[in-house]
Amino acid sequence: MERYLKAVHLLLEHPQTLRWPELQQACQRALTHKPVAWDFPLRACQATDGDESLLTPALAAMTCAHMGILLVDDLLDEDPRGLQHQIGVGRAANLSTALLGMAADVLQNAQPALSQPAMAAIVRMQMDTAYGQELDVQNPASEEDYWAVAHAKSSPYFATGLYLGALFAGAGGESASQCYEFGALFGEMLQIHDDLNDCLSAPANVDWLQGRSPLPILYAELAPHGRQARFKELRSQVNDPAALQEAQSILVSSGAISYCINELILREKQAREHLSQMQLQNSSPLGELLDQMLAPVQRLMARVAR
Amino acid sequence: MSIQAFHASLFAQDEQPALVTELFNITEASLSEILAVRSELAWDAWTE
Repeated sequence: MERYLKAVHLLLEHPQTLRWPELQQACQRALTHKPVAWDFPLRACQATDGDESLLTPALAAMTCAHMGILLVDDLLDEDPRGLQHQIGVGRAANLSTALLGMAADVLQNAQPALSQPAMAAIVRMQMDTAYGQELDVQNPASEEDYWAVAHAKSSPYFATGLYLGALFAGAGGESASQCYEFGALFGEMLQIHDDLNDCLSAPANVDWLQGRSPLPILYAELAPHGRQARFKELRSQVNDPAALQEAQSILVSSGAISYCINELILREKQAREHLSQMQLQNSSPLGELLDQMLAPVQRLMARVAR
Repeated sequence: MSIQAFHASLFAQDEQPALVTELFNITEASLSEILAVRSELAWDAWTE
């Protein structure tokens, strides 16, 4: 936690933050709202036996990159909780651009040998994530397109977090690339979790309302189950709580939830195999990520065991 | 595995590997059982 606070203070003391009140507020909020995967650089550093005290710029970069990405997500999803409803779309977009720029800028505080490759990695992450978001807003409706979006949109952030940790630990290009690949798999798993969560929320999430096809909904629309026609009919009525509940029940009975769980399990196996082949001093910090990701699956299986 | 192939194997009548049986059990659960687990484990904790 101490390392995280140090990273947020680096953001708070940045000249751009000092002259921009909304940027200041965003960074202040980060003091108490840690972004998902803020500790990925730390975990990769621990796994490769690096010096954690050098990580502050990497943790700061991941923190403000996450804030910038979320602002764009909220704009694209027209999320009612989005900051754009408080300060307007234009200013939210400006803030996002500033945060993503700052993510690269704070990496100049890294050791000279690291700042250039680290900045290149964060810029690549921004480009790749933007491409994934661009694919996503086109509402992919096939399995192939879904996986392309999941990989493009969700993997770069997590992959880059681990990559930066390994890079700052001085682990060498091959280890850093292996960490990147592990993070990419983790990103796909997180997208599946996110889709499950969104589809099962009430009232209906934007994924239902905007005609998106997160994985459970895609399954229920494509699989040849007996209630497919009814499911398609319900999709336009999910503002009605009873219709949403019926549609969500179909996700359960048609096998949509089971399919997502199976995809999580397949990726977990793949990630563990990848992990076993990585040359790490200590694989536990990365293995724990998979344990955490699969804990809900195990609880679910136990709950429904007959 | 494709959606079509998964659906066929999940609802096949023949003897199934343990994992497929466990996945099939999910389809027999009520929505409230699934939501209870979702709530207990706060899947959304990752994304908030």
